[in-house]
Amino acid sequence: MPITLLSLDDVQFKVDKEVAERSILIKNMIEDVGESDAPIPLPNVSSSVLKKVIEYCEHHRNDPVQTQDETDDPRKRSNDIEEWDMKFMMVDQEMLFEIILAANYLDIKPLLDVGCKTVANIIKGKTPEEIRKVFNIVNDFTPEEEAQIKKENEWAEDR
Amino acid sequence: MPSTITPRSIFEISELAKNIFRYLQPEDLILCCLVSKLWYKSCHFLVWRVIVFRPVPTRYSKLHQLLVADQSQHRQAILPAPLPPGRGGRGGGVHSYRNPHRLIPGSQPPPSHYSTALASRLAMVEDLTIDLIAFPSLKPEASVKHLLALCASNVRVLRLVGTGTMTVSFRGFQRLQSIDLENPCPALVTSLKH
Repeated sequence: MPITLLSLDDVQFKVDKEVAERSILIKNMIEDVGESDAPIPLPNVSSSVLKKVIEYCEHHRNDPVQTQDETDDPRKRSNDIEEWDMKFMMVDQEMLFEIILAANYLDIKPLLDVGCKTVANIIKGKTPEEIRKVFNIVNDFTPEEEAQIKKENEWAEDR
Repeated sequence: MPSTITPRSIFEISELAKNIFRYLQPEDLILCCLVSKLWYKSCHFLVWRVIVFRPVPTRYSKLHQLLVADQSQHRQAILPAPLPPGRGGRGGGVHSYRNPHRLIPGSQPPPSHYSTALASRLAMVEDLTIDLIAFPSLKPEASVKHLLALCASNVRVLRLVGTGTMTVSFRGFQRLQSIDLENPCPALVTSLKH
């Protein structure tokens, strides 16, 4: 049975139940309310982002559900992104952040992980100044505070 | 189109920021700490949360004996254990200490008997690889200094290996249980028993 999702800007998306249930939030809503023709409102997700999220869920509809052990694997690294996911995440920064926020809101852990890995890959190897420039962040440290932080981390840099 | 979020705000959501930073290596995290106060707040604790202690080869049998001994002494295991005499003949370097009870100036005293017990156990176990250092009642940096101060000279920090690791393992032995960061020391001792 198809499920209708209603975006922030009142656009409706019809998706298969198994696709919609990649979102734990939606899965719980369906379980709580029971199956219904009424659209499920998603007031935190715009149609452009929801479209992308549905695209991801469609592609991964047959993936096994991640266990907590897998998701908490301490050895996981940001470079183990599947090729399809990597291409999927080739979007502008605003969309990337919106997808991460939507994944967080909709509770789609694999999508959240891919988004966070993608951001981590953007950060990797950059200087603080380069990171500020990429993410449009203002340096709010005083020179003294910066010096203090550098001092704090000296022991780690020694290695 | 209206939006409830500004793009920059993912770093303002602590859980998201931490989820991103956990994929970074310490060398990147150190630089991230310098980006802004918000970033510092989210990632500074990850920098020193994961540490590997250098395993000293050829001492596996001694470790094994210790583990076996722990099975019969599990009740005492969480109590401070005396350090074996005569340690410290090897190793050295900037971050190793011959006096196992020496405290680094400026570091804090032991937060509880648990940390002393852990440090003492580490001082005895030379073949140890540990991916965790976090004493619940100390700032982690102080914890590191404190632990280093308590450890024998042949147990020393070799390198940082990652972030967010909460597992203790011993070289040559099976992977041990996860550690509760809120209460790591008894958990480690429990691990030693199995």
